[in-house]
Amino acid sequence: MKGWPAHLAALALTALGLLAATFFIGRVVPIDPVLAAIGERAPPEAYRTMREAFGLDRPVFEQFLRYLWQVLRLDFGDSILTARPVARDLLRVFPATFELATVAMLLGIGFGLPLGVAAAFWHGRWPDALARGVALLGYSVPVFWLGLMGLLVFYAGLGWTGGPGRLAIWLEDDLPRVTGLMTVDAVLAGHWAALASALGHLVLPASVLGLFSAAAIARMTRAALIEQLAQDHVTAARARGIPEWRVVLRHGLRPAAAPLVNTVALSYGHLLEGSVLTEIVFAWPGLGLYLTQALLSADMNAVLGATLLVGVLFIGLNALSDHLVRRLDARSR
Amino acid sequence: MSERIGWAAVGLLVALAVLGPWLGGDPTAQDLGARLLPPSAAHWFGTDHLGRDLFARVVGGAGITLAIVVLVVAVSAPLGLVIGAVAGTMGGAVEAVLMRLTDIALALPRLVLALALVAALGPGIENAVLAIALVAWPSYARVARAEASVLRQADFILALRQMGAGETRIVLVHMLPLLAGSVIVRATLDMAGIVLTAAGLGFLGLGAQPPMPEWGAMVAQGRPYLLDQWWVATLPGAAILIVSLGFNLLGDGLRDRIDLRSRE
Amino acid sequence: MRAARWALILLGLTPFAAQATVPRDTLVVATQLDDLISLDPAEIFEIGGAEVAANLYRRLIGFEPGLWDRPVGDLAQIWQVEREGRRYVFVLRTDARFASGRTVNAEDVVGSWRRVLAKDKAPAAVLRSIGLSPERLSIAQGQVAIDLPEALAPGLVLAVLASTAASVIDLQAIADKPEGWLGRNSAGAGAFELAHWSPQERVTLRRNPHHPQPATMARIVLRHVAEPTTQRLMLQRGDVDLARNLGPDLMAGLGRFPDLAVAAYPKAALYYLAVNRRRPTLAEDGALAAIKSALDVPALVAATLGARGRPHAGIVPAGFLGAAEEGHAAPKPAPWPAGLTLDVRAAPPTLDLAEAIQAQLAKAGIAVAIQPGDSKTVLTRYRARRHDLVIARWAPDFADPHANAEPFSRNPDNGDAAGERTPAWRNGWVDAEAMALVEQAVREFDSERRAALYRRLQAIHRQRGPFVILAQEVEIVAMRRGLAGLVNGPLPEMLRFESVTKP
Repeated sequence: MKGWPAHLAALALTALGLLAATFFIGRVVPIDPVLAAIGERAPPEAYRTMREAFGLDRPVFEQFLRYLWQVLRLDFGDSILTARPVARDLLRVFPATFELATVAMLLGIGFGLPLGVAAAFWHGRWPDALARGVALLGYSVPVFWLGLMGLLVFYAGLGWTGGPGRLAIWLEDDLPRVTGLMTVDAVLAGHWAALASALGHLVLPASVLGLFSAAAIARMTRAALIEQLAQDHVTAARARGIPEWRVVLRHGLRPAAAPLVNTVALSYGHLLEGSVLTEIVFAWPGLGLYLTQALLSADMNAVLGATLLVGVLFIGLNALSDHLVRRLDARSR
Repeated sequence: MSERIGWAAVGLLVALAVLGPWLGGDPTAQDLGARLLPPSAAHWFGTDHLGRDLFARVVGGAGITLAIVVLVVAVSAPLGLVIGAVAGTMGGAVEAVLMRLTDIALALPRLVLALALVAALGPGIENAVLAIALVAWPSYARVARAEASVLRQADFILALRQMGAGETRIVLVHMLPLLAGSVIVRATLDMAGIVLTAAGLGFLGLGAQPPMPEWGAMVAQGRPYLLDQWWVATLPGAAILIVSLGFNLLGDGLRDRIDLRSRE
Repeated sequence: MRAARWALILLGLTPFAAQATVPRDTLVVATQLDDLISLDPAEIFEIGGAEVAANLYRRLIGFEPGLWDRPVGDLAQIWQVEREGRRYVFVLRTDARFASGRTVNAEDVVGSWRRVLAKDKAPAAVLRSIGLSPERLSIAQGQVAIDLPEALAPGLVLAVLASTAASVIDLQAIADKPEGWLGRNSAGAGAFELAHWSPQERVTLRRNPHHPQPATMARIVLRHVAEPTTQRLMLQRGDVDLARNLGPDLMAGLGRFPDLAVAAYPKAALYYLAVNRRRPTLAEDGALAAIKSALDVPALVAATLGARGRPHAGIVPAGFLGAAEEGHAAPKPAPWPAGLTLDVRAAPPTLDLAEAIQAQLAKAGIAVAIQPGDSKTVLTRYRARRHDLVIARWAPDFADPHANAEPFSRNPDNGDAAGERTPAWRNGWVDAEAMALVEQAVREFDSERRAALYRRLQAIHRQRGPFVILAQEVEIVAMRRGLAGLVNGPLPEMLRFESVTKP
């Protein structure tokens, strides 16, 4: 192990790579950002002033340094689309994605873990086949399509779940924003109708999004457990007459914790990303929707800011999972 | 068994891609008088909002999907293979730099970067392929490097070095063929992901462009009719599901076999 | 499997969440707010902004619902035209009050307009189109006076004063506010004030209690719902009262729901196909003629826009002074072998229009490749004259034929560095006769003669203009049956919620 300075340096280098990537992408856009900002009927003088204000008349390298300096100060500039600072927009939209991805993750663990354990426990029997089927489906289904089908059946058809959005629209003004997490804010305000509405709106998109992580976790749990349960000390434990479920928990699951933590962290990163398509289908006003709208409007400040946020979270989750895995490994040794 | 289902699904995709023009008819022929017809004997999958036969379009989409998958793999796998092989064979500073680059690329959010890249390059099937390929190479580089760094110590490579063979020659002639196998397995496993990413880009309007019958774009175009004419969006989506399921089954089967072999 | 059981219990609870309904005093509208950037009347140049501002601000001049070519007084009680049409004097109503409770006075009117001119954003150009400048505005005995540099058709002057740019702002309320405050807040005398706005999500309007005729609804919630299918879903489930962006086929499916109704509102916006005469392949007159004669416009409009558009052939929208009555000519395909590109915004209905046009031109031997993009990309290419063909939508800035006649005809400098980038310039079209007619019509006092001039202008356009005007937009609104009182005129500033009632 090289110690934390090496890890930090690696992190910083990765972050710089991310910044270079986003900056490069921002440069090759075939859209005139000035025009996008001031509208097509603006006079030419206004156009020139705006171009200079954006720094678009400077050399590219200077623009990159300028961009780095701005990012270091958490200044991503103003969004063209919302005419507000991107940093504030990100702060506003991120909780929605965080809430969705977290609930999806919890559902993914809640379904994936028992399914994986069952599959390993009844290896080769029907729970194993079920787990395999769910995993395959999770990896194969186009999430935007599944979302549409879900809306069609559970919202339009059966009326079991809330529809698009995070809350019944007329309740949106009643709920003071504290954390930006609708469920938490509803509890803080003691607004039970809003809590019910928020949960009703969460369940469908979170299930659709969570299917992927349920698949990943079920598959990982099953593989890790089967490997652990085949080892000698497990056979020895069984021979001592310890109940099978305790064998599975103590000798199977505990050593499998490291790869599991890794899977959870990685699939959480994927959820943050995967929320792009899910948010579009469910009109979920989060980071994914913000990013897509910005992409389609040449709102490069917003695109770079949002991509950067996703990237930093991604890098952070990777680093965190590495760290946890190292500690778990050290302890099991 | 399930690998055989995978072979069947992928075989069906290839067959449709090759035979499509004879089988389905013209996927872009419009008949504004026959809009949004439900599935029937004349139109097996019904028609879309411009009166185009959906069976012809779903069949026509097979070729596009296959082309995307093949092109992405053809661009990204060799790229990753070469980078991984060079790093693994040479070791030292070259390996450190190349693998640091790979790690950086692996630590970035792939879908979001592909999205941003396509939006920047301009929507279209070529740019979608390029964007997916540009974010897909690092995993191949890792696989190739891992094997190459083991092989580096192999007797015959050491012997080659002692005989004075150049590094370029060692990488090109001796390493690449040995690494190709595991990279191909990795690529098969990735193909379902490529199908889904391409469909996602198409759904967002960033992939294949009209009137091309790309499945993701067809789901997006069918979305306005989802409530009253379910077939327009549902059937192309089901096609995506079947093909990506096929690739997954195939990849799992291949991996299990290769893993078994390497364990033995 | 305890987790699974909990999830099932959670699922079981959700039906309760889906059953609550919209309160009686709240109107929830599903709409598309993606172009809402600023709510400051000195900055608004998008449709969404103008629609919201119409409910927040009043102007001197307005329209009776349904009579959109006849301006009447809004804040102005009466007015006089003096000095052969060069001086206008307006007497203000005394009962109009801002949301702050203060009575609207002449200083607010003149100050608001001066503010627009000083900010010099897109709305300033609208006020300048009749020659307004700060020194031409004055106040005499509590009345507002305007001295125009030259006599213009009165219909034009009043239409400009009825536009969003001429909105009257509570200047005292914004005096101590920071720069940019008005972009995100409101200070008007309209029937509502702005209660909340989160960009790309939601705008909430609250009733202005000081309005002489307070609005029927206490609250209007405009919710951004990008997808038409989603809008329809929410309407079906009772989550919204009104949906504004359903396509024709989503409308057709509404027949199954007895508690929903549909209303059609003709709009002034035009969909058109533009032909770039700067392109070598398109410079010859034969190419333009071949494209124009190959299209069966009524058929393609019916197939793609359905009830959302009416085939319309002239640059002056139906309902405006001087709108031409002739429709589209029957197609006479004249082969013109050429490979062209067609730029279009990749969304319905423009993408559908593009595909239908592509198919029709193919029959005439004209191969067209569609280049879809988002609206900004298409606009960038169009503005740089890098297109062959483009499908675009045009909405007039104010309710007068001049708002369309000038941009579609005027092109004084056809060079690539020109400052005026009108649609005529973008397609490289220079026609001295058309430009002269525009100048003549804007100075014609007699509306009969003025209408005749616009009809002559449109005949020129049909013969040799680079535009194929396809259709005039019709907004189809789906709503809860029994909902009444929505005012939705041809221009965005004519959308009003103040007298909406719910069953």
